[in-house]
Amino acid sequence: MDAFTMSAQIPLDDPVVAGLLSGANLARLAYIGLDGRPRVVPIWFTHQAGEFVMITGPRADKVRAIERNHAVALTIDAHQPPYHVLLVEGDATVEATDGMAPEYPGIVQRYLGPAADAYLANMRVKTQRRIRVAVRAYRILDFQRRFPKSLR
Amino acid sequence: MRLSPPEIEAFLQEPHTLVLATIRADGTPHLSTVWYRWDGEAFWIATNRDRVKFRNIERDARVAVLVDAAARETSVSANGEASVAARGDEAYDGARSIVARYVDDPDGYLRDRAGEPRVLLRIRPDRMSSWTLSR
Repeated sequence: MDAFTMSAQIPLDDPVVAGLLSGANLARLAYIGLDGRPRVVPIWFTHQAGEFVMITGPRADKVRAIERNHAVALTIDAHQPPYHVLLVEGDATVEATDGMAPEYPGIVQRYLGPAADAYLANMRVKTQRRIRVAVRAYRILDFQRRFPKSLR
Repeated sequence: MRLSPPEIEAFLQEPHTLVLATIRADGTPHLSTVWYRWDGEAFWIATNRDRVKFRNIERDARVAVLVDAAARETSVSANGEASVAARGDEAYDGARSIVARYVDDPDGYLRDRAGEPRVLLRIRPDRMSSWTLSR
């Protein structure tokens, strides 16, 4: 594999990683669709106990696809230059929750701030799906010291 | 809710980054974030022949792309097959028109990278979807 570090543990004390995980950056989640083609979607996430956790609805296309093919990739980017990037490749598992996932209100709060309460109050949730991504490999780019190969 | 076709056009003309998903030899997805240009029908991306994304595309042309603006909860995603539109010096003008969207001196930017095995990719979507919360 190219310039990825093969490890289940991303370095949380790395300033680029810490910055990307503490802000309200989206993750972009890639998986293989049921038709065999790749997909990439923006998604809210949290990082807990060494795993990336995303909550979605029970009928989402990505749920069925990931249940069949667990291999996923994530990129978490700062959108403005100098383009900090955390790339993760890993294996995802999907779990059904009884009612709202306990981590979901915290995730919504992180992204919506004061608007989170109204957003959550409007939801009628019987069950959700928790996508947990165990890290297989990661790569950090900051475009200052750590560049893609072509820019070194 | 979805963006209208004119809204999609306007959004893709803004200098966002594009997240490109390809398929590795082992069948797992690979992601990279790149600069792009949208010409109304296709996405154009400049890369190098030694990059993982290009090696993946040579083996399996099926890709997914995502252009998003997180702060506006706005995104456009697409599927398609990537094709090689030009290589080497013939890829210069195409690469320049992409780079010029992002930097003030595209020729200087490309001169600093003149030794790279440049390749220009074209991705014409066969499926496209959009999403926005900001209306």
